[in-house]
Amino acid sequence: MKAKTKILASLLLGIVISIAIKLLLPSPEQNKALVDEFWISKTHANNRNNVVFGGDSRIYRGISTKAFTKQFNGKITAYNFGYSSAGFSKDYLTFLENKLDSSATIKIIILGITPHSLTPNALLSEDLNTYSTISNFKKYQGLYLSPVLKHFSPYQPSELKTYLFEEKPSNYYQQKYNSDGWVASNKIPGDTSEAITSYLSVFNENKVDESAINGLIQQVKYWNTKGISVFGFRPPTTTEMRTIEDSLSGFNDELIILSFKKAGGKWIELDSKKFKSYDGSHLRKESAEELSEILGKEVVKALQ
Amino acid sequence: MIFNSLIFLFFAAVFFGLWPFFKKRNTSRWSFIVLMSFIFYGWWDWRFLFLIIGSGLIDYISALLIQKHPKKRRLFLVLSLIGNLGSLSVFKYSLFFANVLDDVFQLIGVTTNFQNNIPEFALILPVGISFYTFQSLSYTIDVYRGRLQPTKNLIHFFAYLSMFPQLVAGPIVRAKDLLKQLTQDRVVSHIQKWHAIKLMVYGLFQKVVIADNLSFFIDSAFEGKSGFDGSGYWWIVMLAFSFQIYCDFSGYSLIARGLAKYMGYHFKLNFNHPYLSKSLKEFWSRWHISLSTWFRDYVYIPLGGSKKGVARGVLVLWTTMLLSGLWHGANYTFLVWAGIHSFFLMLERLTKWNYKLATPLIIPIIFIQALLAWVYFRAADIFQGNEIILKLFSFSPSNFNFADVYFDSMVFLSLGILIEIAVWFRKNRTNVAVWYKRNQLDVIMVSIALVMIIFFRGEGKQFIYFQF
Repeated sequence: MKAKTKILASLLLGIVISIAIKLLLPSPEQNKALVDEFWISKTHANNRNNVVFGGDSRIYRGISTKAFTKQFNGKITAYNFGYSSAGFSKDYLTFLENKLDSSATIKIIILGITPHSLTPNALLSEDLNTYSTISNFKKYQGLYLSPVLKHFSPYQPSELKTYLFEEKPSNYYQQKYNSDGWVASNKIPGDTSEAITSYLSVFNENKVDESAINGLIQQVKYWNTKGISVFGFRPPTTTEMRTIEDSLSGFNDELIILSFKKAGGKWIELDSKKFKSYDGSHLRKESAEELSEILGKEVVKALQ
Repeated sequence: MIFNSLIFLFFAAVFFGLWPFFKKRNTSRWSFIVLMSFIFYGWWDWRFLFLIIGSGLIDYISALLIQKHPKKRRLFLVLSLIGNLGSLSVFKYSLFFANVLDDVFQLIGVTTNFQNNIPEFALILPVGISFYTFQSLSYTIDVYRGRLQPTKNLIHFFAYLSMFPQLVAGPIVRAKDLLKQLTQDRVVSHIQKWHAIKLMVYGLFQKVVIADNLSFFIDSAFEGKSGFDGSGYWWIVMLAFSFQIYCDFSGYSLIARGLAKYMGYHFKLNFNHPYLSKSLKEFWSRWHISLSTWFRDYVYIPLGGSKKGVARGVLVLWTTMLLSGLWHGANYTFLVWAGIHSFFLMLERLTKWNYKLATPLIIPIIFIQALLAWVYFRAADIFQGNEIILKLFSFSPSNFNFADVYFDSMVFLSLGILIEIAVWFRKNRTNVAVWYKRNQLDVIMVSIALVMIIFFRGEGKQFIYFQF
């Protein structure tokens, strides 16, 4: 075989094997390119929206904007800008505002306020900062290359072993990264005590900060003057988690709601018992969709 | 910029896209190589460029002065040595020397604190400093010895010194081999392109499929995070590390050779299946060949080599090996690593024990010697190294559940071992080699390696040898 033929033959054979792999095998469990694409797009994409959601992991795992916008008959655009352990710092609130379509008539910011989101540690918004400060190359890679690269994510031999020779495990953690900023999550079997342990220590020397509340309230006032409708709600979780948060964080529900309303914000009350969590903190996929629909209805009602 | 990164893929696409246009004319060819190599190197930190330019200028000027003033050539050689070894000492060895001084003073009862008084800039280790310093040094020494005519053109010199495929981790290329090649617009035939592609694909395979997929298993063992222990476990960990470091470094060298070949240039072989050696001496003629020959030509032979009696020969052997250990890193562990090699090499030279055993026995014994030395090469300090050596020979029971927990790493380790066994058969059994060639297995192997690079790559890690 001539060298030129060898080069072409090896390339061709490589392409054939790659296509066979993509056709015969399921997607890899760990898809770093997909995760990168998700977070980098969330942070750096230029799309502007009518509705933006802000908050921590209870938001990015708990709000499906697709379910939310159903109530508006698809006439508005919405995006979930929740980040892990995000706090309502000035930077994060400005970031949310910048993601609104300033020329639109409907401009809504919906904040999921958890006790942790008002603590000094959360105000550092490390997760958001990580993605905000990435190099330009990584930014472009996440925005333009990752959508292609995610199809070439690597497999692990153990995955193939399971797929080919073993039964699908009954235990699994499902995380679906949606293009609206929502990570639809579920865990089988669920364990509502799982998150409790970490929450027992998360508020040690990290209580709800008065200045964080004031900053948030000032921002709500400011947004109101700019014609932006601001909604707030406490993301639902288990009763046990709520009790722990209330007792350890210094979070005063009533006081915050009062100030929020005084500043011109609208507060949405939710019945936590309606929703199901898989780990004691975050909502299961179905509950997240239900919550989003309820929020949609409440916002529509409030705007009428 | 590392070979196993997207940015390098982009860089290589730009380079090879423009190369056919620039390579035709002498000036544009040399300048293009220098420009692109500086971009490649400056990608880590543009400030490192000043160091490579400074150290290169010293050697370029020294070499010209050696030729112009033959009577003062020793002086200019010393200047070059001071410049090169000086910068290496500052950036690579300051902390180590400071520690040594503190330890020495402590022995005589004086408390010093040199290690905390080192200027901050000296604590940064510029990528590949040991490689390009040695390459640059070989140029001046060869000119001093009258074996090389110095180039008068600065761009030519920097094209040789900084050529990106080998800049940060070798092979350490000699000026007499490369400068001449660079003078011509070399036409690359299809057969050369095919060989170049094979080298790059096999190199990437070694790096991203074997080496990178072993790192998690090895790192968790050395960081004490795995929860496993016992002799069997540590033998497997060290077996894995032996293959990780081999595939990591050999992989880099293969990619470098492949890139050079695609440009039309030839870099000498740097790794030749060292774990198939039948003596430790042979191991060193197969492992990091460009460094071994550098030490042979510029340290071992000038000191007398093995021609001046047994005792002198052994002394020179130890000196060369210990210097090679220090070249690898500024830590006592590298000295112990080199010491172990020196000891086994000395034993081999004095007893010639390896001639008395059959090949199937010798190869594993030589491999085990190398493996034992690797313990100190990988260990954080001598104490950890000693601890692991004790574990290896304590024959304490192991919980082999680690094979389940680290199933993926075990698969890639087995693959690495199988490939070396297959290579042995191909090299030693003519019928296997003929069968391999007749069935065009290289085409199939390249395709499979390519697919595995895409779908079974590990987490993109930096090459281990970059730290040297």
